Amino acid sequence: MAVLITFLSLVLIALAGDALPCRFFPRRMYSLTEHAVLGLLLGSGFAAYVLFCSSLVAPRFGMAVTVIAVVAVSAVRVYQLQAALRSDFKFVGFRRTLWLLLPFGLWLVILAVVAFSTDLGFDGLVTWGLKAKSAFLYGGWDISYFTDPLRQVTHQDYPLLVPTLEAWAYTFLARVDEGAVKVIFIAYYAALLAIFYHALRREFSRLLCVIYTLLLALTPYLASMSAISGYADLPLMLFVFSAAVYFRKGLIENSPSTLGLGLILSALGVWVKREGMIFLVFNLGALAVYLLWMRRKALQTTLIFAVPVVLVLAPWLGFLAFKQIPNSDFVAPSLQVFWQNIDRLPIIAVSLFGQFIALGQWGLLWVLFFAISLARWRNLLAASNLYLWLGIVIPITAFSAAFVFSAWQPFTEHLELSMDRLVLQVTPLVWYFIALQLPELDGWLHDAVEQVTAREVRN
Amino acid sequence: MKSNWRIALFALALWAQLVLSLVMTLWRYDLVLWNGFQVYPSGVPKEYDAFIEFAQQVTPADSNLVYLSPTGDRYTARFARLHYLLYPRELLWLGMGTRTSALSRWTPVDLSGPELERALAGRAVTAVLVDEVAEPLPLGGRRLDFDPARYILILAH
Repeated sequence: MAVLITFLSLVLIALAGDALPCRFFPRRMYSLTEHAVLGLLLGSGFAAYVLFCSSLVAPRFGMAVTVIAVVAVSAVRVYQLQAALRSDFKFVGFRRTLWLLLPFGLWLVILAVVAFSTDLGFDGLVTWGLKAKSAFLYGGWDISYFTDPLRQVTHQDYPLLVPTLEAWAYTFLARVDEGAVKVIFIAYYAALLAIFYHALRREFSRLLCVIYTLLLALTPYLASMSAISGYADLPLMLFVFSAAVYFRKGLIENSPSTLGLGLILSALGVWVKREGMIFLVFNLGALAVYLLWMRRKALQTTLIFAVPVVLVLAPWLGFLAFKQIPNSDFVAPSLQVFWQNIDRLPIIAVSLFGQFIALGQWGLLWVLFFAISLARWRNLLAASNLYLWLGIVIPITAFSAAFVFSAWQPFTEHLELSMDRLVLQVTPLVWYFIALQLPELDGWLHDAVEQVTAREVRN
Repeated sequence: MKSNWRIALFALALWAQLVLSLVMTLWRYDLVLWNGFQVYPSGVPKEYDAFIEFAQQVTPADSNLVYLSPTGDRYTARFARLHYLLYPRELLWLGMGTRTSALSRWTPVDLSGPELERALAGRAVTAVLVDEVAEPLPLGGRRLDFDPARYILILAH
């Protein structure tokens, strides 16, 4: 029952979030997958935003305000959907994707059994879990929590989207249940697979998309470590991937609204984990280059796009700055610290390289990525491919370089605990990039299936 | 022809990845479910139950607490459980050892020295729990009354 209630509370969030993406698409083109995933992402961001902002004004009533806001927006959305379903509206591709529920549904059941058999893990219990309990028991964000030295163990500077979702579920359960909140992470995993399949489906046949989605779903570190834990890496991965997919689509189609959606998703990534900032800065940089390339009024248009990003981020980043909440893992970057710690770079490089060849963690993923990057280097001359490739390489390089400023003593412990999770965050992008560089595989697979079918008919 | 063998090679690599991933994941799932890992009911690990039950019994509802944990991987999990069960009562945590301090920014303190007294000052602490000892330590006013040699020895491992 607790699992069901948690799931239904997420549905409510997704419905509220779905009120927004309907503005981004033509009315008759309505993909259920796309809207379910975007609804979940934007709804999660909306809930986190409302809870935080309302807690700044009335901390004890923050969750009550959030519940009222989410329920109200969901009700409006349900009314809109009802009206739309009565008119000329239809879900695109709903029946054609229904059969996918069988293989992926089965896999999700297996994953859920394992997930519910384990606890939330180190960060899940402490960094995110304690914040969620605090928000639930207090009724919102207790502002003194963020400056109380006794709470430093929970990393007060870490963003609040995941704890908000957990506190949201606890509110509907009327108690803390660290088992039931695993539903949130399983839902995010399912959403990741759904949006990945959907993104590929624009380019390839159904069978090939299923194979690539399975490859992503089964990536060893993702399937056996991340998806079954209560860590925020999986939610961040989903925000980053969705942002990249829509941003790329916006570049290709020259669509400001899709570019805007990509940027908003990037900005919401910062509400999940601080690493999201690197992806956001990368996307803003890519936008500036694109606008210069298109010979538009680059600065003016970039600023227009940056407005919603600033609106999304201002409350949280402003709060951190105003309350002077220090970064709990890194010292302030400066040239002096960089020169002082420059001897860390070879150790960091070895650690990163170690990830690329860690078959137990990634299988052949990174070997394939580098092999295909070399074999298909001409493809990188196309802007959309270059965007993806840089979207993988630049964040990984930036994450790694950041360890030069690590405040941990010894910093190798920080490296050891974080490097695999930083590499994980671009995993769906890597699979997406690999798939897009091998378009011949679709025809090859089609021929192979036809040959097998013909042989069976002959026999 | 050239591109065909390349595609075949990539297809083979993808196939190998699929098989390797499936085997690796199911093998790890097998470990989680049946071999070497505790299966926890509804998110509360059994191994913590006795300690938490004890903590609830020995600490008055309106008291502030000090929880002293041993260093190592398990301390945060215990801390988290205890924090949840005792919240919103104050839980003053003094982590010990280098790893603990690296994560929490707590400076390791010498239990027998004045640092602890300073840390406890003004917090109306009435009980101290020491993990893996499961025994309340009596506090008289702001003076911590226990055998420092014994407890420091325990906390150090």
